[in-house]
Amino acid sequence: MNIVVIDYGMGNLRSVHNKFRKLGVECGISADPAEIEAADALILPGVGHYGRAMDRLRSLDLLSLLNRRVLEERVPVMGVCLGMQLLMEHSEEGDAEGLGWIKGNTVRFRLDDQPRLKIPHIGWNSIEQVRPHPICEGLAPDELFYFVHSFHVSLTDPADALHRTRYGYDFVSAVQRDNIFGFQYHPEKSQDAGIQVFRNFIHLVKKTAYVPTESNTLPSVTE
Amino acid sequence: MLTKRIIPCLDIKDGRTVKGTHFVNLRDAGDPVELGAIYARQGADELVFLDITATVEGRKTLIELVRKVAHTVNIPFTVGGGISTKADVSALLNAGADKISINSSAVRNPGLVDELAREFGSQCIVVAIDTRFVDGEHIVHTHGGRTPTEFRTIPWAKEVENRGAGEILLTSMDTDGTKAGFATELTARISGAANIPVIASGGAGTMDHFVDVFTTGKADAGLAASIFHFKEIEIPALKQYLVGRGVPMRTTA
Repeated sequence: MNIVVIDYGMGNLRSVHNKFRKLGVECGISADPAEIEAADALILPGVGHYGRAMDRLRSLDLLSLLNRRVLEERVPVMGVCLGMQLLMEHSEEGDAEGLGWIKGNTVRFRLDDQPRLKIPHIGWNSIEQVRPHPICEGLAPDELFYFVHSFHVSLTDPADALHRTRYGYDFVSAVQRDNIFGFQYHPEKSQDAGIQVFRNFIHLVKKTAYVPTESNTLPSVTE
Repeated sequence: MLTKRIIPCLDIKDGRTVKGTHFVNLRDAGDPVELGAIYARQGADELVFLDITATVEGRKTLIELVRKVAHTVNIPFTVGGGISTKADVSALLNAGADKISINSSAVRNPGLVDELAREFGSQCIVVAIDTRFVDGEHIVHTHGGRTPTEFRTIPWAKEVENRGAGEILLTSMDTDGTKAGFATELTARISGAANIPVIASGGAGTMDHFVDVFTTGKADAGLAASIFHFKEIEIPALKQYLVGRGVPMRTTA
């Protein structure tokens, strides 16, 4: 199995890469179309500015390749932090268009009436699992993950939500639709719980890589 | 619920921890990577590495160290000390640092905060403020608290927020090293004035000092060095104590 962390120059790619390597899978950091073409799974990590991230993906000429691999060939893809926000159609940050793989927008935290809550939302916060999914196998129902962000996603279809987190109000902290996964928190910085998420992802990728499926959804880990 | 953070700080010179530590089970007590990994296992929520190296060769060692920390430690970490250019920040983030902290360079050139926030995002820009109470006013200091500046502390905290800092690391030079408690009142005022998280530093001596800084002081995180290095307070016990006093803590590690 070969996982490619997409190198579009947005922040700390190394940590995500390190964690997958430690879990014993082949993992590279690349923006090379040939490597993205050959990947069994893709990771969109990243921190920083939304508009700039989309500009970089565009200037690397990766958009149509990524669209085909993810939407048509249904390669498993995981967006982390900014990478999750990019899955949406649009962001308030830089009024920028996103990848649009999941319907919804990225919006700034609205905490105007709650002056004691700070932006960015930084630190370890708990998740609530909205629905069961194999990617969450082995996580505590109120597992803590490390967050650092000022924007969050707002979904058109609430059924795409996987985790919710409370900061002033409830926001969606993980999404999943078909082969597309997104995590607002940083699994790569969240100790054992984060490693568990990556391990589950690898398991799902193995299933899809070796047993091609006709269905739109990934097979369950436990089946 | 968002938990409050406990952050051990490691002083680094030429790639080694400066102050001795009482971790007898360490193979190499001067190895910041090993020490950082131990703190992470004990439940530290983040780490701060403060580099006090002055030489160019030493800076290269720092980059190598950051790379090793990123490979070994699976909690977020901040690197500070001597950072004054976009290139410095870029090198540290690429090596695997999650955040960087700037101090004197922001005082010398406040526009640097805007520049770094624009380039790398606010979430990874921490502005460290060293403050001392002088003639009835809280004044920003540089050079380890020796040199007063023209900035008053609370307006400066607001200013760095407006310029795009994602977090403030507030060190009271009045309480630092005293073990008599954090500067709780000032921390509360900064935390009330700025709409970004505040990490309180300087003065931790007992577990109750942490209770005070999180409750009365309204700090989002508490940072300390020697009490952790010399095992005067151990992180798991501290977190249990804080939970018992109603402070939300991550105790799962």
